Amino acid sequence: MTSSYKVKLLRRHTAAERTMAFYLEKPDGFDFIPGQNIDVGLIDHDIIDPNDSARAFSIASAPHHDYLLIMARMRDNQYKNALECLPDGAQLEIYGPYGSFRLHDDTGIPAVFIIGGIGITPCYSILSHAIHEKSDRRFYLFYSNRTIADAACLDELLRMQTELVNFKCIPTLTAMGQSNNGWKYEYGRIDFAMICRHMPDPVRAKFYIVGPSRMVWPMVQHLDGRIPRANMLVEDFTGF
Amino acid sequence: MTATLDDIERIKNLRERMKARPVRRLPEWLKISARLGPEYDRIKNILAHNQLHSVCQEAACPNIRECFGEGTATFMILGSNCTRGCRFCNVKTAVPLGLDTEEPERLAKVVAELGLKQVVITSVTRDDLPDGGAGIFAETIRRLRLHDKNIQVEVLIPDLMGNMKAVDIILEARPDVFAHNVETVPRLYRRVRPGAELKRSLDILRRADIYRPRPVVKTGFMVGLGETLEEITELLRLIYDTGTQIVTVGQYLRPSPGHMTETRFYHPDEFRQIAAIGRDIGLAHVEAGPLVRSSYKAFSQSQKLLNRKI
Repeated sequence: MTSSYKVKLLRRHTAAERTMAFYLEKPDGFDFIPGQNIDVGLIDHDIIDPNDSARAFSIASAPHHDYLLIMARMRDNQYKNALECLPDGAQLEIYGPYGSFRLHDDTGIPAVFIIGGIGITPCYSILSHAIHEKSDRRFYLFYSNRTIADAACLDELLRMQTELVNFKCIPTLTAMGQSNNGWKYEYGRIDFAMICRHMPDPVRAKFYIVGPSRMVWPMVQHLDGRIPRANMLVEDFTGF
Repeated sequence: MTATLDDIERIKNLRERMKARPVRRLPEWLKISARLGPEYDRIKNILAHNQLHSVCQEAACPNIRECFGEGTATFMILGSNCTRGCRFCNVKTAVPLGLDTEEPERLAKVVAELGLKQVVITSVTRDDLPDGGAGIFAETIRRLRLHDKNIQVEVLIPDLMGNMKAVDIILEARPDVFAHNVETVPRLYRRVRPGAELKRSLDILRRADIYRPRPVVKTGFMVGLGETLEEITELLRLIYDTGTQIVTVGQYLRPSPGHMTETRFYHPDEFRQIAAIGRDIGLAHVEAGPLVRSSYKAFSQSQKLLNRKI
């Protein structure tokens, strides 16, 4: 059941270039399914446009955590500026949880995440939950960013491979030359050929495509005909 | 993921908390008879047989019994999977299953079979298509007119990502009524319609108003999402400034516990007050009531305006 709650901002840190992670107090009785999202409302309306006082964020933490984690690309707009300036302990209003983006039931079918940038947040929640549950289902994460600095939670995701037995993380950079020292993963946009290099039989998998519209819908079109559309689930982050 | 002990415990706790909450009771004016007539079954079966969808069913419209009972339906084209996840809407968010180019003809045949003289066509949002599905809207209007040149067609379109070329494709097919809903007041936009913008929606209405020959231009919004009367008045002014003639205002009713909660139920007198404000602003017709929906009795709202269309 969706509800609204007053919560405190506990702390924040920089998660990547222009990306902040905000830890919010988790209200008593707040329950959600990994992959769902909440609206976060700024209570001090004097400092922002009243028409932009609440925005939706995927929950990046897992249900067993005692906090709610959200992440935001810090674009130059009134809402994000106001959020960034809030002191720790400031009060926020959250609404939710919302959304039908959640993992499929059949653990025998692999889950493939095709993620662009900050779209990593619902996936991060699902993977954290899977670690907590000691899940042995197969997960593949294709994680696309322009540069290493843009890739939120990359170290943690790579480390998750040691904690989650059947998880493979395949990061890729789209705006860096292949001469970059030390990068031992993929370059360029995610495509079907890249997917096939890293996993067997993708046709049988469920695909979760998350990111901005300009990434999500071309990816659906690219995979169309190769992967059944019924096996794709999208989360379009435009306007979030 | 199979349910773990943690999941089972969480669900158990959630159920207990839900039991402890006060039961949501609808006021008298929102209670609807659950009686289903033979017309309801007839239309439902025809739609299912022809792989067509009605927004009446997909959006769990409270007027479905009345409209189906009177032999009318609002058809939802372009499939039943929507690419947006609006917080008020019951239509399923999922990747659409391709593009069904045969749908316009099937729909036109069904409309002929049902003997409808007026039809409302709406759709899911199709952000996956370059034209947002505008071409299928236009083709549907053309096919309907091929079967019956006197048929009156209302289209209720999604925002097409603000692609005005796509809007023009639909306008060029000359619908009698061109509708696009603004849904809520500016302050609640980001919460109610993630991925949409009020300015984009107002621009679409403005575009229809300046198109010649001009269709009747219509929009609608919901109340009960947390707006104030001042905000409703401001929205009615913004709508008036676009040249829109008809506005529908109805009570938001949460379709499931996973959707936004109603902040309050407006009394019928308050709807009358909203309609009066709209008329004072200069809107030609404001249809406001607890169970009013965009396509509810659509042509009775627009008939006078259709008769004196430019």
